[in-house]
Amino acid sequence: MTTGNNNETLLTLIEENRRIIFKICNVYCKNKHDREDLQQEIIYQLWRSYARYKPEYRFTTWMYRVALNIAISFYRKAKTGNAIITLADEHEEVAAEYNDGQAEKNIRMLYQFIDGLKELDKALMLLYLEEKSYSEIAEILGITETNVATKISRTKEKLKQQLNTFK
Amino acid sequence: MEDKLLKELWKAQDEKLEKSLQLNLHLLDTLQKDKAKSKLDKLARFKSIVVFLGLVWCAFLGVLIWGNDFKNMYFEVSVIIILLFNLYACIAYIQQIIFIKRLDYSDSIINTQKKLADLQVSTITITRNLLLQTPFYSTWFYTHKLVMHDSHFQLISFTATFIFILATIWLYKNVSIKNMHKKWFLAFMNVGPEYKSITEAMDFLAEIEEFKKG
Repeated sequence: MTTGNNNETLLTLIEENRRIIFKICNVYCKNKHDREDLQQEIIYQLWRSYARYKPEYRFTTWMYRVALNIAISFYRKAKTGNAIITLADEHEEVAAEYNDGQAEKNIRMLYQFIDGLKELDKALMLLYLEEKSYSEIAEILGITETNVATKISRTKEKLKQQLNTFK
Repeated sequence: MEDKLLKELWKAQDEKLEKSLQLNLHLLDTLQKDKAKSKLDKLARFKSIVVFLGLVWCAFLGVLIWGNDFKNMYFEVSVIIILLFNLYACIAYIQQIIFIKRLDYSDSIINTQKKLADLQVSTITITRNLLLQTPFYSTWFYTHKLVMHDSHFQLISFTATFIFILATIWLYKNVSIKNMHKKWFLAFMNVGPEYKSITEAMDFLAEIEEFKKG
């Protein structure tokens, strides 16, 4: 666990990389309340795990690992407890903020697509959209780079098919 | 949708998310003081309660053994065996709590999630092993006099113990992952809050394996 200066360093690092937390919460949680709960859980676990952080590794890679692990565990717990409600409804808020009709349609489709993915595939898709390299995705997920490439191409193919159906 | 467009769309939501989500870093102070708020620690807390109750039960059995002063061997042996099984369960649960507390969330997603799912599934092994104590609940009231000289007692009690043994063997063989989707198994396992997540954990393990294969 962290104390004193370490605590401040960690808080600064979290603040600098807050978008990682926002995006993960947004992908894994269906409503505002769940997103806030997950955000709290991620920050708490980042604080708890920080003592194990080795500076030779990139901070964002470490942060993605902790945050995604917590999000998946949190999501699975919520699913077991039947606390999950449909993603599409709440994410309509984000889509609705776009004035451009086509952009709105596209973002809605993207969220619907991500919502339909399994927990691990959601993590893969999120990292891909965040433009992480295949080697970093492989490091975060714990699979080979070849596997990452195969899965991404397969997921993109699925997305294409879904978009064609939607059109 | 092209790759580029897809990523642009994804990036475009950054500002919206900034607006709709505020990072509550001050909550860290609260969390440090009140760790009970962490939802993921709930499992460890639940298991701690089970260990506490298990130890109380073991202490009670210990008092019974001590109080009987080794006057009735049937009683002593039955209760000692039940006590040993319950101590085993308490130790296994303590090991699980230590595992949960030490779990490294900064390990890769596959490793961490597999460890967590394995932990949930391991509860089945503990349950299976605990089942083996069942026949001893039908022998603690035996006495030397009844066993040797009472034919009525012999007929009823021996039959009951025999049925208990058969049921235990059957359950020991069948309470396993291979029967996880059978109705009787779900009904049997659905007796506590942690059991609800076991079948999901099993499914998730299969998902992890599939994901690793590519």
